[in-house]
Amino acid sequence: MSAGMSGRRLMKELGKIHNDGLPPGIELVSSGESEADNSDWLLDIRVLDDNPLYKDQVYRLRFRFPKAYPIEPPEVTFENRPDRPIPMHPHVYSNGIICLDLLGSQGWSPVQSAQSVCMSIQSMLTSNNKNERPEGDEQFVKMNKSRPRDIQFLYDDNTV
Amino acid sequence: MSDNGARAERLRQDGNDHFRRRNYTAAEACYSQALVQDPNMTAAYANRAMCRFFLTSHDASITDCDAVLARDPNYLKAHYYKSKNLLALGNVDEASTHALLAYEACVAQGADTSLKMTKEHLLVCRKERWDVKERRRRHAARAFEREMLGVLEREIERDVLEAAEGGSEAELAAVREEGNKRLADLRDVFERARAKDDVKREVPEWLIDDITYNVMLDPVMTPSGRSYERESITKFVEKAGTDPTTREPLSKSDLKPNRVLKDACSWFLDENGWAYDW
Repeated sequence: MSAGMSGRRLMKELGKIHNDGLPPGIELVSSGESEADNSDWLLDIRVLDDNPLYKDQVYRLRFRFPKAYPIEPPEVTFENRPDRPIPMHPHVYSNGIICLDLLGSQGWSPVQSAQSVCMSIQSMLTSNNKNERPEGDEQFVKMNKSRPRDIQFLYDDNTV
Repeated sequence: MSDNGARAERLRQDGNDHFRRRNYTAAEACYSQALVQDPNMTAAYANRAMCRFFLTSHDASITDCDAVLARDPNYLKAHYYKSKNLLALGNVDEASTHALLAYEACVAQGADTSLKMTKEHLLVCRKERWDVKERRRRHAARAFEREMLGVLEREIERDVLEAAEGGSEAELAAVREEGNKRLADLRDVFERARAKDDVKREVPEWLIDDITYNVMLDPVMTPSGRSYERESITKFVEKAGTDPTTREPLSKSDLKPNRVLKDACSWFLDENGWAYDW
């Protein structure tokens, strides 16, 4: 009972995933160091249609869940690996940081889950046709030292 | 304040210093002295009740809680510690009653910081109460099973003896076989009844809080018509000030108890106590 809010909730999300499975194109790779610490998940996602930007590619997402999850949002980034590139998108920096309002403390809602966040990112890629990085990507990647959740993004462009 | 009152207050403060250092024996002594100076000092009874709980003097602690509640029937901590003592003594029914009173006092007084503590304690009490009930039920069922099997075994033995006296070898074998079959049938009936206990451990979606994924205990409704556990939605609203689903502005005062759903949750948990820590 005294375990933090996030531990139990994540256990239940995992249980649900093991029972019902994940939607097409989303796969759970690992769910934390151990049963005691399940605060760091890896998931693979694919884009399901023939969008040439993402065809035949698999991308890896890392979820870091804070103790106060789901009151606070998870920190979600793309991970760069030899077979897992960072997808091209006007809201995805080349270091894997994602600018998505539902992951910010303003846009986050505790009724979201790891699964629903993956689905949002999946659909964010699906609907994109711009082969470009966010404005100022190079500068941002070079300068940024803060963690994604501490960055104040401007969600000024909701069309992409 | 009279001299006695001032002395009592000083002694109580000394007690609090000891209490903070977890020196419960010394703290208890200070509170007792404070009560000699001022026998009506409610806070000193409440503080001494806490010391005595930590010193596992449960009966004495309950007496102090009662002294507080006689002066202030809605004193949150007195209900809370009375309940904790009762639970330690194995009195799950009364412990549940006072756990609920503590939780309700907490909600009524808007003491949000204690909401989590009192709610979790209430859950522990309810779970414990269900476990006790369930253990008793299973125990009674097993005793009944043994008794019934015994009755049948004795009856079969009688039949076998009768057959052995008068009948042929073949008749005796037939009586034995018939007896074994009846015993197996009876065991099977009990086995199937037991199996029912272990299946269907599923919680209907509409009893589950979308924030913690637990069964709700005290659901409250937002103006958009969705219900969440009071503790979790309060936490989110204080932080974000919005409805988690519609994103419309939302404040604590917009949250209204959903009594029908609360009854449904409580009915479900009474029938399915395993769901408390599901």
